[in-house]
Amino acid sequence: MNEKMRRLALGAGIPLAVAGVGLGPYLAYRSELPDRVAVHYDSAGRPDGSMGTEVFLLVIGGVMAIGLIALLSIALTRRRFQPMVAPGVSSMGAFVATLFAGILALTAIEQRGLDRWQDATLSPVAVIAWIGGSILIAGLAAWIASSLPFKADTGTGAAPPSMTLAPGERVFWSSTLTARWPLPLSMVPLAVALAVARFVEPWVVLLLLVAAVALASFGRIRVTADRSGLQVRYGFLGWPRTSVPIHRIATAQAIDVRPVEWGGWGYRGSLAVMRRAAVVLRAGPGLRLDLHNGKVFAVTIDDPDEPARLLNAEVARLPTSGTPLA
Amino acid sequence: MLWKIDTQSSQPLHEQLAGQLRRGIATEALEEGEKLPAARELAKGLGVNVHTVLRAFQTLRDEGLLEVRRGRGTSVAADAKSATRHVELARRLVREARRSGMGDREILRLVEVQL
Repeated sequence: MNEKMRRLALGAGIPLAVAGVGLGPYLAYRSELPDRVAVHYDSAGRPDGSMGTEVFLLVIGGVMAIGLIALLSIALTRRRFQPMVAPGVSSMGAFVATLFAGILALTAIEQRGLDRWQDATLSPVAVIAWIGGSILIAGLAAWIASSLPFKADTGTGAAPPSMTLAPGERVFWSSTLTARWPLPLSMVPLAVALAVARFVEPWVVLLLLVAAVALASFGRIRVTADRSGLQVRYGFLGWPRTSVPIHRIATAQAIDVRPVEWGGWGYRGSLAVMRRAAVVLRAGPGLRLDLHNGKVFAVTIDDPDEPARLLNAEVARLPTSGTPLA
Repeated sequence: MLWKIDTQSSQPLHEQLAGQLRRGIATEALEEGEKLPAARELAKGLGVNVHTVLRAFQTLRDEGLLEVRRGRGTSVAADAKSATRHVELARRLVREARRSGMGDREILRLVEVQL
């Protein structure tokens, strides 16, 4: 697929398909829908809110259109964005649009032929398909957008640094990095959880506690490099982790990570969907891996020159050096 | 920090590792209080037996450079930087005293006199 086709798929293919799924059934069954449609359900699945059929179409269709316009503008823009921007905006736009198209479609299909909106039902299978479909379309949009040209970023452009390793020599490198803000920030959900514990349902407190623990632990990473490749372990438990096997690495280099160029802080992007991912805990030194299949992985870490030299040396002494395996 | 061993060297692996640790502390590649990688992980990364790593850790612990806490792993001792200097001086004393033909007992007395 050349670039023009990809722009066409992103700016016209996906929007038309999503709009068709959303508007098609609604417009087709409009005469069979009750005067008002159920738009909200209580926890037992009984409808407890309604809206005029026309207003509903306008409101939900409007939000869907905003999402689709975001896709269209990414596809039409000739300006080159920072690498993560186009996939990020596209996936957000596609997700919102598909979610709202799904609302229209589900409403039309489930409430077709009803006399009163109070009789409406919502099948769990349809809801799962609806949310799952939205995630899939968002991933597809991100994947297509990630193949559009972006601002060149070959890192420093210098020859990859390496170290000399004798045949019997084995090397291992390890380092940890702790971000300054997540630990204090985790006190916020913790404090809120303690403050409201007596007044809200238990699951709200649980959710807040999970958020606090996640924030507290994910502010720290441990990075190791050896002949098997690169590993990033998150949090104080060292789990979950990201591994980049040595045979997938083409080159490693030390870079200066500016969070705006990698989509912000945290785990940004996705190797599978957006062809690039970065673990960003702060601005400053980081390690960048260019993989054989053109994907890019970056992680912020102090003294990135050491793991870069180690990994390049280990790549050089792979028996299949230079041939892509992945 | 970067760990490097040579499997073809005549120097035993645990001694190489102990040397790496001492150098790391002396050059501040390992900071005081810093947690070391787990012995099992380090052994796997370097492709050596875990007992080899543990033996090196043990040596350094005996020298007062490492602290081993149950359940919390191994970390560099809080005063490791100064300790590493004393250990180095003691090693030099023993080496040079032996070269000049002194026996173990004489070396011990030599130190005792200074106390």
